[in-house]
Amino acid sequence: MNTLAAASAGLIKWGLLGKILLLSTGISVGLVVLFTLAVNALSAYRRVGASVAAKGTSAVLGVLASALIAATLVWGLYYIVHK
Amino acid sequence: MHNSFLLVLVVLIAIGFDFTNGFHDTANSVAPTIATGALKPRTAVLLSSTLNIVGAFLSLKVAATIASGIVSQTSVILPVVFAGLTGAIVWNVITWYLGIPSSSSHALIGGVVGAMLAHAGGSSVLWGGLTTKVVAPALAAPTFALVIAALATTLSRRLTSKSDDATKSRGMRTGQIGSSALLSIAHGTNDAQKTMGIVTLALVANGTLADNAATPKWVVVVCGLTIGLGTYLGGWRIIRTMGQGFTKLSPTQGFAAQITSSVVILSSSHFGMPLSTTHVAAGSILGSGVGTKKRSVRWAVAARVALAWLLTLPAAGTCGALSYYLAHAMGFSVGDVVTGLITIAVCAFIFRLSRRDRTTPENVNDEWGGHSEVLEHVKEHSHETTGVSA
Repeated sequence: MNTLAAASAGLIKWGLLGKILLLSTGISVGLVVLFTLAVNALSAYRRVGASVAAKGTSAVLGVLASALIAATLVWGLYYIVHK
Repeated sequence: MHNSFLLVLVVLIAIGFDFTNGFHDTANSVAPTIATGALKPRTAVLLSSTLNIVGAFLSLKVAATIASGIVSQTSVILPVVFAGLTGAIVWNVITWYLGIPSSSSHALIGGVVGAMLAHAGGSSVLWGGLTTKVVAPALAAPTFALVIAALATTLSRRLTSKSDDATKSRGMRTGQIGSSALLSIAHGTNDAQKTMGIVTLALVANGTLADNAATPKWVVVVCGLTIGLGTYLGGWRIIRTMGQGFTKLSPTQGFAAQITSSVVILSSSHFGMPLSTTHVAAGSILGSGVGTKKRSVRWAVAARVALAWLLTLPAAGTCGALSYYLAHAMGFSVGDVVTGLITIAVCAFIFRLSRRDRTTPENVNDEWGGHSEVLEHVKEHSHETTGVSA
């Protein structure tokens, strides 16, 4: 395995590929989890019979998650325009 | 070398490539959105088409010079560019007919490499650059996307296990529209610029533009509108493979797949190693299937697509080389007209073939029959032609 890595080092940029994998995994999984939390919060907020405290917590969580998603998307668009 | 006639031919064929690039790659951003019903097919391609045009105007830096670092730039002449483009167009149309999502960028690089080999021999191709810029990313893109989408789908599925289905589906479908929009903009900036780069290079090579001149406005407008038109007409056959063929997509899977595609493409561009949109999108959809409880993926369809990816460089290269040899034998101006007409004839023939078994916005979401679907078609055709039921 080490021999293969050494032989291909000049042609394949392993470090760069590793960075892409790490950054992509972090942002993708982060966004999907945030969005899922926002959907869960909405579902909990709408649940019949939920207490006021539970509804309040769900609302705050939903707004926070949505804001983080929006911020990430704005960054994405900014990046596309100014890269 | 000033040859305005040849320049016009190159610009026309480049616009033709831009169009096939648009309709071939529509599936990358809209297939999951259409498959899960987040948007109606026509609405999805209209949104994607508009955002592709917007994307083309957002950034005017021509980052991609044709096959830069892959072939010796000093040896590139207009007939090589022309032949490379014809090879890419033919391969794009063949794979569209077969419903295979293959990379338009790889088809273009393959076509140009083939034409360069015919023009100046093996020493004009930078084989190390080909490995670094094409082969390694082609292996990395679907693998990364598959792993990340599988992880994201698994997490999302587990986190939403207690949510009510109606809210979950509606929420995820809404998210899909946003992620599809982001993907369309990214595609417009990357791929429309690819053709802008080719046209600008042709103008510089012909002496019409000075070295390092900015891309003329008309080039930006024409390339942006052409890729938008191609996207709007939609490669429905490929949309069907991406949306129904790999796996049966749920809104959760579709959302995870599209977010993964957008982020992987933007991250790789950020680090200066742009990956193929098609490879990333296909890998993400497969990954979203792997992330389901039953790991439901049609690996036979995936294997067929992977085989086409392996064939893209040599097949487009062969078409490019043949086109160059033919044009060279007849004299470039006349020869390029003839190869251009042959390319149009081949595309028209394939389009005519496709009319026998049409995929449209109305049937793009029909249940996937896989191989049996093809067999049924063969049986029907056999019955029609021989009068004997197969």
